[in-house]
Amino acid sequence: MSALLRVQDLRVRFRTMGPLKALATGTEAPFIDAVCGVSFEIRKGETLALVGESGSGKSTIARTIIGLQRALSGSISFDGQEIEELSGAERKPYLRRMAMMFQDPVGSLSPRLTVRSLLTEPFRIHGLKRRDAGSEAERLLRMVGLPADFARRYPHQLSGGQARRVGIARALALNPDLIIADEPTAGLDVSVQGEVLNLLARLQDELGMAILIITHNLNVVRHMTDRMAIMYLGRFIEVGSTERIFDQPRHPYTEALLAANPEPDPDAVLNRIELKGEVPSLLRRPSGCEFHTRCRYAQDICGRVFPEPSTSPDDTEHSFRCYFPLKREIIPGLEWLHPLSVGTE
Amino acid sequence: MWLYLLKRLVLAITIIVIAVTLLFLMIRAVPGDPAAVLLGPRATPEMKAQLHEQMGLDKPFVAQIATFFGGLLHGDLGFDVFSQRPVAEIVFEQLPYTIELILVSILWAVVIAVPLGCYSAIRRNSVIDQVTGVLSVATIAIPSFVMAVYALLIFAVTLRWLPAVGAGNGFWDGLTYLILPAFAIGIGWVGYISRLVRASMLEILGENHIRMARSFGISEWRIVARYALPLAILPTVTILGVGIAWLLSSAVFIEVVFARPGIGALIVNAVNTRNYPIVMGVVLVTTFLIVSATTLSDLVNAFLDPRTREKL
Amino acid sequence: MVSVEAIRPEPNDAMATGAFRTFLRQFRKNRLGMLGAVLVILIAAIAIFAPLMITHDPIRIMVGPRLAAPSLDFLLGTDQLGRDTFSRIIMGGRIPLLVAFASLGSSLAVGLVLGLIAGFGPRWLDNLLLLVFDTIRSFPSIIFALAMIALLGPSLASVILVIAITSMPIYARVVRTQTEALRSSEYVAAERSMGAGTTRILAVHVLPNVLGPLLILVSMDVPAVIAVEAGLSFLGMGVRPPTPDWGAILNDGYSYINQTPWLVIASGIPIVLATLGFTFLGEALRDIFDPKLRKDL
Repeated sequence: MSALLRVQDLRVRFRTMGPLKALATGTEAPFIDAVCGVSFEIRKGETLALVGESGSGKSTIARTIIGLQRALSGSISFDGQEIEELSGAERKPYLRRMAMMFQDPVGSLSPRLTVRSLLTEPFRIHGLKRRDAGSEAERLLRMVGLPADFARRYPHQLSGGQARRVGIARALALNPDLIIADEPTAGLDVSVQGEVLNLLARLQDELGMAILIITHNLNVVRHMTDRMAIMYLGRFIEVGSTERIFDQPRHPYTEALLAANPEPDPDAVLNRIELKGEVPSLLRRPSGCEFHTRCRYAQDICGRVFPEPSTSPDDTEHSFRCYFPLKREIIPGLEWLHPLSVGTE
Repeated sequence: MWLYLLKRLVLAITIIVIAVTLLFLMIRAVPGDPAAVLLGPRATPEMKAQLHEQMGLDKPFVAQIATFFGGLLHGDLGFDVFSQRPVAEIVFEQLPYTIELILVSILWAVVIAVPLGCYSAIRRNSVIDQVTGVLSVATIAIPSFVMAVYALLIFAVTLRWLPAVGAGNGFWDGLTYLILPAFAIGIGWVGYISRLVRASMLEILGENHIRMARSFGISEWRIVARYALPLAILPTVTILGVGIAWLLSSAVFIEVVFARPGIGALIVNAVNTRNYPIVMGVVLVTTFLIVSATTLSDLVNAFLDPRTREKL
Repeated sequence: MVSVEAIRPEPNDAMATGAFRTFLRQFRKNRLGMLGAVLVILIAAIAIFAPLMITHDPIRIMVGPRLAAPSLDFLLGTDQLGRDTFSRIIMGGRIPLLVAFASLGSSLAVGLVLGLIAGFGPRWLDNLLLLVFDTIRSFPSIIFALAMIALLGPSLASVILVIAITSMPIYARVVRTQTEALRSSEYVAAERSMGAGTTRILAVHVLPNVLGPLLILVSMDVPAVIAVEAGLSFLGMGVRPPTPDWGAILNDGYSYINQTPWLVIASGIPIVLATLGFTFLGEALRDIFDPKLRKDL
């Protein structure tokens, strides 16, 4: 399968203060690198998850792809066409083919518009021939399982789950090739979360779009995605198929993340791994491997040089950046023999 | 704090520079010969020629602005060709009358408002509290010149208690001439200040050291007068900065109604006689006054309440 | 597939009428607001139907004796030119209302546009516009107005222009603050991610959300405008004689205050009632819709 979206060596930098203030306070680098050198691709119809704690840069990647944020360097190509440098009208045709769902289900809907107007907004923006707006909105509402009379409501009259469905319907309005979902289950009740994920999965089966999910909820990742990438301070530290990573995490950070995730499996309780300390500030990145300040396996070299990506010998799709990756001989029943094999299953 | 002070001063100076430039451009924006416009229809050719030379109209535009600013820095506001005196001299001759009027107005407002505010704070929801609540919105809305004309009608014309027009001679005589005009301005602020005193008083009365004093059996009025009031009056100082523009505007009307000297009367007179140098002189001086007052009150505010420092 | 969660019943279908009813209920409880509304409606009605209510031609001189006391024929007496004060007062409310409408309307339009530009445009433009707003606000309003009138000549148009210029910065600042907040909101980001241009975002998604607070603010400025118009006319810098206007009549009365108190009393009271009425109404509207909106912004 060919790549629908290819991101190469993407870097995004934010200013933290004006140049004058930086000069006055003697700050040498008045900026932070929210994303530093990230590469990945999404194939047609595939689902990829970006996973990481808040501040790891996953939302910034999404905003840069959709054009809300400029990249410092790197390339983003959509269906073989470089789109990072495009702006305004040039970018518009590509925005028709991708859609982003934002974190806040209600807050991402314009408060003075009715659901009908919200759902037909994409058609108006792209100057598409408006067939009957009412029936178009009705079709979209039916698609996400909402009754037709919701078209008359305003966002503040919707519950979180209902608003999320409207958001999904709007994202799908123009039948895009790619949907970027930023925390699609944030702020929803657990039961509603399940409904929303089922809905997304069903619609993906029917319509065949690719999905980029940004989340820190590992249950969502396991439930929805084909591949996943784990981010730490703006870098990918481990990438691979979702199944593989859950099964055999190689990076100690991934291991800790997976272990921290509450699971329905009662045995998993025993394997909790506590992360030491706080996430370091982007203003003061640690030297070398940025995780070494919190890593329980860290050695001298970890604090000096950042490790290059290496791939698993038995799965070339699975890559990670660590000098001391977790190993696991797959000998059922004897996991406890290996000192580092603190699995999750 | 020092950084805030610096920033605020830079802002104030920038505003004054822009304001002066705008005023300068405004005079020039009027079509026709600026000298003729400035002097009005009654100017003689000699006066025009004199002003032409003084303004340096033959020089390039940037040089004109530079000369203008240079003059300002030396306190030179221009020259009044009619009286053959510098504008600055005329304006600063009238300014004390206006400042005197404003100060007595504030005194009036404070004398009435502070006791009302204290009383409202102690006897909350009493009749007086509710009445001052209404007054706080009402008195500031009623135009001061209507107040002034009514005060004139009642106390000077009908009852003949106080002199009607003029400024009087000597201190005590002058004071009797100030009572009515100052009252007409000050009454507008009574409601506002009393609400402010009430609010800060309520806040202070709820604090621990006041409750402690109360537990020692000190009477409520004594607590208010001795401990709470000095603290409660502080916030009112800062609104005077915002209020100076309002006070100056009111003073214009009041000076006309009571035929008092002052810069308000001066500018109205100058507008009527098309004496543009005087008009501009008054605008410049009052703008400077207002920018200084708002800057000062912002600084006092920042000193009292550290949160406001963040905003700039 | 309609889930249980999705069809959870929501009672408020008729949202618009419901909101209006809530507003009326709250408004009725506000006694001062009701008083203000009554005064404003009364004054507006008198201004509209003024030609039907006058008993004499308000401009014709010597319809009666000079400076006459009130009588059945001249309800509020006559002025120094023998004109009927009652008719002049009735007609005199039209100018202040017209000036308020015209000046605040144009001020609102300009303030809205500049505020949107400042709040949504580049940072340097924002700073520049803020500086301009602050500068205009630092001019002493009446004195600045007098200077403008000195340059433009006394007329109603000058008064409207001056009021529009001096009241604009406050509106622009409020719009700017709100716009800036909305600019970083998720729904604006969502619109942009769909490819919506800046004009569309401002017109469809930002404007309706900043208009409410702005209108309340403008309504609260009406009394001040009435006062300024009356004041400038009082100084003889507003309407030209013989147009009837409260401020101008007050000035006539002031000149003859020793001979007759009627002119002063009759022309001052409508000014007071109009400013009070609009003040009470504006305060009530603010308290109901936007209690956070400070009046001394």
